[in-house]
Amino acid sequence: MKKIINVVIPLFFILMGIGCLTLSSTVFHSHNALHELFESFIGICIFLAVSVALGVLYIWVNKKKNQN
Amino acid sequence: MKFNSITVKLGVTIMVLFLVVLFPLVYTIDQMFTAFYINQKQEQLENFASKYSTTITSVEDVNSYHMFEMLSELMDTELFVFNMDGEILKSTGVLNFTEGTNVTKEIYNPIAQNGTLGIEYKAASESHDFFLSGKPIMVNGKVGGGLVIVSSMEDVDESIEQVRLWLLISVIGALFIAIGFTFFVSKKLSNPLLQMEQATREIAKGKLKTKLMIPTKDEVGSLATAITDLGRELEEYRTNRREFFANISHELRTPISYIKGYSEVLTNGLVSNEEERNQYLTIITEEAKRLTTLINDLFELAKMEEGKIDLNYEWLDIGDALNSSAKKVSLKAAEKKIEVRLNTASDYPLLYTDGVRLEQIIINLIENAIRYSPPESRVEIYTKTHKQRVEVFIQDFGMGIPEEDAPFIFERFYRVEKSRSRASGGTGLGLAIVKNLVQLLGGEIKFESTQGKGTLFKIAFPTNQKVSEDK
Repeated sequence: MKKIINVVIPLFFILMGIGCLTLSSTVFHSHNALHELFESFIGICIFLAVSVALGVLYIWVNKKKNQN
Repeated sequence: MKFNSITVKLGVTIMVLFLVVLFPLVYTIDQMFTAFYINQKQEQLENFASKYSTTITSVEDVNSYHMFEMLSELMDTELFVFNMDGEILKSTGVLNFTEGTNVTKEIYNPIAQNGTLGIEYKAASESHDFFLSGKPIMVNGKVGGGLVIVSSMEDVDESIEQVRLWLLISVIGALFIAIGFTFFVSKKLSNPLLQMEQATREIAKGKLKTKLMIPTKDEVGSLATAITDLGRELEEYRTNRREFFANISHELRTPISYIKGYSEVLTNGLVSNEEERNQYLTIITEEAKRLTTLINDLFELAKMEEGKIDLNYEWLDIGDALNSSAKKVSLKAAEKKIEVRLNTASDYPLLYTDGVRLEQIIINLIENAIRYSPPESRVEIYTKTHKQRVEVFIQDFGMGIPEEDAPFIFERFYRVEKSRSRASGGTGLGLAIVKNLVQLLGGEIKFESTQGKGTLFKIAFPTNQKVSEDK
């Protein structure tokens, strides 16, 4: 249960954060708002994924180095 | 979750660092947006004033002004024109700039000097600010008057407020994402520390085999390895101590039981003749001697292991030390008719060492060789000299050391052949003392042994004074 909470709480914060950023970046687009919302969401997710991927890559490289 | 835990502290630190960067960034963005909106508005008004002022050919003829009211409505601004006396000739009736009144110097001067007017204006009757943009009206190449456009800043303020609101929501969003990731990162960073804390507690409780599995090679990984090593060494120490006490009680019990038994026999008058009495007294004396030797050896070893032994370094001739040692053991050798052969090199360098301790090492090794050699055999002692060290070899042709016993012969109370060793007067501490002494003097000890053929002990010492002292 504690492990689930440890994952659910940060995930909730991250999703809330992505939601806030998506709305902020869409609010001034008056035309085709739904399309802009979707585009912003994808953009923010890609930027986050790239940062996370860089972090994961760093940890993975370190792990490999330690194994050798 | 404890608020003073390392996870929370790490998380809070990361968040504080994030806020330290984020707040100045947000302030900068806010300033940029505010300046951008105001500049846009000003440029727009200036542009309009500049263009419209050129359409006015006569300042005094107010009827010649093209679409004065209509433009005011279309642009959602107010206009007024004044002549070079500062009197307002035509106005759309904004604020207190009504026809027939005079403009202030603040408005008049820049235009009269053929410049551009651009000021913020605070009206007492209105809650929001206004922006005044003016241009001179040129008549026959001269400044004939001025056109001023008055625009409310309310819409700009509203836009800026909107941007601020959504900027704040973006900041909250970024904060949420940061909190989420900080949660993961602080857990990941603090996890090894928590593991180590738990492991040290387990070790403190006595679970010395606790093993930490932290594979990183950084300082944290090194600390984890150190904790695992600490547990292992404590376990080893505990086992050694247990064995030591078991051994010592056994070793002490044997001579004490002899002394107690024979002294009781003598006290109770259970001896039949003088010869028997003398025999028992000899046994008591021998066992008392053994007990003394054992206690002395233990005391010596304890001092060495605690590093409390004093060494008196001096330059000495190793040949003298070997000769003196051989002389001292000659009586014991003679008892078993063992020949002690001493072949030393003639050109070895002087050694910088503690002579008494060196002799103790050599005597111990020779006595050991005599003890485990058959009667009428020989013990050979010879030396080899190298550039930086001197080697001493002590070879016996006795029973040798079995391969399975080889790793343990320098341990306290370890005996290859237990009954025989005790009978021949060994305490089981001789080689442990020798090894400790050799290490204290900066040397090293090795041995080669073939079971049934004999054992060769090799001790090496540095000849360099600095190396000897450093070691």
